[in-house]
Amino acid sequence: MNKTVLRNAILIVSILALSASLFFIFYAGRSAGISFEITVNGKLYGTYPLDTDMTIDVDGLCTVQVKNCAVSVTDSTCSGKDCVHHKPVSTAGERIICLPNGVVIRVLGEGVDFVL
Amino acid sequence: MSVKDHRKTLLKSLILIFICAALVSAPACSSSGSKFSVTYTDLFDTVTEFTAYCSSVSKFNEVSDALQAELLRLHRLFDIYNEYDGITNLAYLNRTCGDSPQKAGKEIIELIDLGLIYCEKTDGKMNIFAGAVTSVWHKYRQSGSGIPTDEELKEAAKHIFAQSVKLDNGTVYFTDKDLKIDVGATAKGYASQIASQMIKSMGVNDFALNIGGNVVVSGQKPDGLWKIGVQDPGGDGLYTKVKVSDISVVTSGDYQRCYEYNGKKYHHIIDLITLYPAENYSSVTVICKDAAAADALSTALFLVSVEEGEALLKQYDAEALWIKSDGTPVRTAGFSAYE
Repeated sequence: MNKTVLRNAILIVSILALSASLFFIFYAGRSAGISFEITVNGKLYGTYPLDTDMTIDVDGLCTVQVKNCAVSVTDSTCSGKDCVHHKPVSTAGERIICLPNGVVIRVLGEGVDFVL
Repeated sequence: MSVKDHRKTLLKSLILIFICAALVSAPACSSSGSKFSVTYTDLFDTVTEFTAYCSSVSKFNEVSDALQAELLRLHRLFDIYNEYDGITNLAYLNRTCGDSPQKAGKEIIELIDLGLIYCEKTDGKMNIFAGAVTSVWHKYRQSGSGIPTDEELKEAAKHIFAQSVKLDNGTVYFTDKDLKIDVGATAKGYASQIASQMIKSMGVNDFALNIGGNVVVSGQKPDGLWKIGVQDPGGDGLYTKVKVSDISVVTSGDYQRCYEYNGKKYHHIIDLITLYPAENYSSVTVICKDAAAADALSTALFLVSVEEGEALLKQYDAEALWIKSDGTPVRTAGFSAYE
C-alpha cells in the first residue's frame, strides 16, 4: 500500500466521521429529553430540564416549580393569579402565561408547535 | 490499477460521500431557511407567538417588526377598553356612536359587517353587539370575585340588539345609546388573517402565527406539516393533535379567560339567553381556510347545538371538534382527516 492510498483512506474516514457527527448534532440533539423555557417580555430568561425537581425565582415576578416532570407557577406578584391557578404542564407545546408580568413558560421538545 | 485510476476512483467515492452527506443534512437545513421565533405579550390581551423559516435573521427581524407594528395597529383599532390619540377605535365609537353617526375605518366597518352576518345566521346567539352584557361579566372577571346580579344582567340585556346598529357609507350610528360592541369573538381571527397576508407579501411562506389560540399556518416545516395540539379540557395534556398546512385552527374553551367563585368556574363565552357562561361544551375547535371565519365559528359553535353548528360549518367549508361538558367528543368527518 503506498502513501497516497493511505492518505486517501484517512481522508475518507475523516469525512465519514464528520458526516456522522453532523448527523448526530442535527438529529440526535433534537430528540433529547424534554425541557422548558421561560421568557419575560419576549426575551429568553432561561431553559431548564423537566426531569429535575427545582424551584426558580423569575426576576422576583413569580416562582416556578418543577416537580414530577411537570412545571407550575406556585406564586406570582400579579393580581389575577391566573398563572398560579393553571394546572401543571408537561407536554411539548403547552404553556403557562402570566400576562400582567409578561412571563411565558413553554414546554419544549418533539411534539406539537402550539397547544390550543 | 494505476495511480491515475486510483485517483479517479477516489474522486468518485468522495463525490458519492458528499452527496450522501448532503442528503443526510438536507431535512435539517431545508431550502426554506432556518427557524426563528418571537413572542409578544402586549397585544390583544393575550400571548402572540410567531415562528417562521427564513433565509436570514435580518429577514426574520424585518418581517417580525412589521408584524408587531401591524398587530399593534389592529390591537388599538379593536380595543374596547382604551382610547388612543388620533385613532377612531372601538372604545371611541362605543362612547360616541349613540350620540351621532361617526366615521370609521375600513377594518372596523368590515368587522361590524361580519358581526351582523353572524348575528343573523345564529339568530342572535353569536352577537358582537352584546358588549353591554359582556362588559358586566368582564368587570367581575377582572376583580376576580363575585358574579353579576340577575337585575344587572337583565338591565344590560335590553341593549344588545343588532337592529340598533346603523351602517351608512362608512359611518356607524347606534339608535340605542347604551349599546356596545365587543369583538372578542372575531377580532383576533380577523387580525391573524390580515397579518398572515402581510407576512406572505413580504416573501415568507413557511410560518405559524398564534394570536391567543387563533392559529394560522402557512407552508410547511422542514420535517412536514405543522402540528397543533388541542388541550384535554377534562384532564392533563392533549386531547388530540391535528396536522395542517395553509389553514387556520381556532379553539374556544371554557378554560380560557375564566375565574372561580364559590367553587364554580365562570368563563368568558356568554349565552345571551341565560346571560350566564354557556354550558354545553368544554371546548370547540374549528379548522377553516378563512382565519376570520374560523375564529367567529369557534365561538358561534360554542353557543348553538351541534346540528346548527354543522349547518354553519358547511357554509364556510370548515371542520370542527366539539368536546361536550361531560367529555363526549363529536367531530366532523373532515376533522378526523387532520388527526
